[in-house]
Amino acid sequence: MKLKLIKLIAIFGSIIFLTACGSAPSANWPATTTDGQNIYLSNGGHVYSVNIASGVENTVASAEGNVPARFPQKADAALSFFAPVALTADGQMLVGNAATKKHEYFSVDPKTGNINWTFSDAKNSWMAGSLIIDQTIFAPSGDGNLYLLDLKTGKTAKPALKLSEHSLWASPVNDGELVFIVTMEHEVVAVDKAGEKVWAQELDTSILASPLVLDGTLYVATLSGNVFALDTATGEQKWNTALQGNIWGTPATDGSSLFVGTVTGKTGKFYSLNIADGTIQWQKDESGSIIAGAVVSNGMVYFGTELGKLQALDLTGAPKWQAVIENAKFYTSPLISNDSVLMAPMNADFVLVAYDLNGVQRWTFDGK
Amino acid sequence: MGNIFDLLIVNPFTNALLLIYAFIGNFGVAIILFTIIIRLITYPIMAQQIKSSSAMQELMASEEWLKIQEKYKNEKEKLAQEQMRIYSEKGVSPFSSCLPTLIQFPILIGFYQSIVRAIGVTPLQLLSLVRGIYPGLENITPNAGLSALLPIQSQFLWMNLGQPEGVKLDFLPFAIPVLAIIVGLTTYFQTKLTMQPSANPNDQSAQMNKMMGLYMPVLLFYFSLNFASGLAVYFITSNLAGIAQYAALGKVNWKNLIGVKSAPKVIDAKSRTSKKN
Repeated sequence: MKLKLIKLIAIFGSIIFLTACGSAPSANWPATTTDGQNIYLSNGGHVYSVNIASGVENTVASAEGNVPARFPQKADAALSFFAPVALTADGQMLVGNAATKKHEYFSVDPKTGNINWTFSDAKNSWMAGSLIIDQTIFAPSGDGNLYLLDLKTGKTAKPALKLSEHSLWASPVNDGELVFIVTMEHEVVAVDKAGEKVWAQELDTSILASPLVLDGTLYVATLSGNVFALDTATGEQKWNTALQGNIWGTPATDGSSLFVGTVTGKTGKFYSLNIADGTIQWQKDESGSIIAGAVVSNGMVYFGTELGKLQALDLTGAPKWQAVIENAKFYTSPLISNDSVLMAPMNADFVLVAYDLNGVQRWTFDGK
Repeated sequence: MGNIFDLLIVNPFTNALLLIYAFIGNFGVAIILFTIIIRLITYPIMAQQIKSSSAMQELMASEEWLKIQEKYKNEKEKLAQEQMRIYSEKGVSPFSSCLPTLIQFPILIGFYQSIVRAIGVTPLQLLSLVRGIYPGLENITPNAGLSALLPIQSQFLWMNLGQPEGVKLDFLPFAIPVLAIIVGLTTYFQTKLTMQPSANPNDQSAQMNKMMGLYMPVLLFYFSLNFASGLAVYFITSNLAGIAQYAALGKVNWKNLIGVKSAPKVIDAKSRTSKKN
């Protein structure tokens, strides 16, 4: 009798365990965007809006008094956000739902939290950020389509462009002429402003991070650890450099060098490449993997590691300072704004942390 | 603990699944094949469990057992002593039917996790997958190299294995969860077909079995409705393989399915002892 009861408990317990261990399909790392004054954090149940100077969450007036200016106002199991929001000149905040069952794409007024419009035709979760050119939103979706939406109404401006049988995870970039999108199916695709495909270039393996575009060259890092320089007009390869490890982040640049972090098992490497020919200028070993792309600002390069370390180097690779959050993991690129280095850690007691440019902690935000 | 479980079970399973995928080129078929392989590997454990469970059922239906239940119904301690004596005399361990189940659990949980990991529907899950791929895998077949493996072709028949499944018909405002319904039905059939008749249908264990027969299909239907359809493919294959394994042992109880109540075979202690000899 008791054995039967134990068996029953064990079976049901295991099922609950399976559910927990299976990790919700929409679980991912956070994403950040800034408008110069505020940082917008997409971190699961909400998109938070936090003032960069104070570290205090912005508020909005409501019938219940001032409430946090987060979207959605109340957590909803059918909504989750991991894509960086796109902020438009006319004051819209655009973000897609990363939940598995519903796939809406929202235009929200960040000052009130009210939804302006919703686009609901996508058939998979949204993980990538969007690009706005004139009155058109270029929105890559988890269903492999690039949707071109009207900025005012959210209605499709053109039929969707099928770019992949797999999810599109990286935000598009543009050079003023063309829009560049990368796919898991090893391709870099260039489309014009009308949404017509101009060229496609197949590389060696899946591409997970947005490319970097500068002066007629597109710099693309692939999962296998290769960095490619492609001609933006034709997609032709200019050079290719193989690095040790997998690359998950977008290359950063100061105009003359490229900075790329890699994942080598549980450790990482950080490289500086000559932007002209891809030769390695210097490299450094890191005790933690470098998942997210680095950021260059005022003669410094900043990157986070999976061991919760924010590292600041000068452009010759000399360490300037570092800040460590015990047990935390950095999977999101640093943001530099208002003389602050902003980080969104995972596994920490807070979801945002700001440092000054000397590495002194200014504030934290716990998202509660 | 999680790391050890990953190292010993989830990672090897994930790599085996990826290797099958590298040869087959279809992730849905790889899930089906790997489920069958795992079921075959765990077959001896399962067979042992079924045998032990049957032995317990037979023992509990025996005259000697029923007699002591009646005789000592008001003396719990004495009853327990007598039960232990019979267990000892007949060489039946009350734990022998439970232990194989417990051994199977980590395998099934690990397999479940390896499917979730291999489907990798977010960058975080893909990171975990890429890290777990064994470096030597591409030496077995070039198709197991990172460039060839990724992205994993998650389309199988009409479904995306990384997404919950639903068939949308033009005249319906909602999608029909075909796979979840099949999961519910096959789980119901499996529970019914493999349920052994109880000596006393009114006792608590029989009631619990009955409850399981109702709750499990509903529970797995709910999971299949909300989780990646790759898991539903696993549930269905696992259910059908489970029925086949019971059938191979001659333990499928077809009468349960058509609602005919079958009583357990009542045997007396002597005949059981002589059978053993």
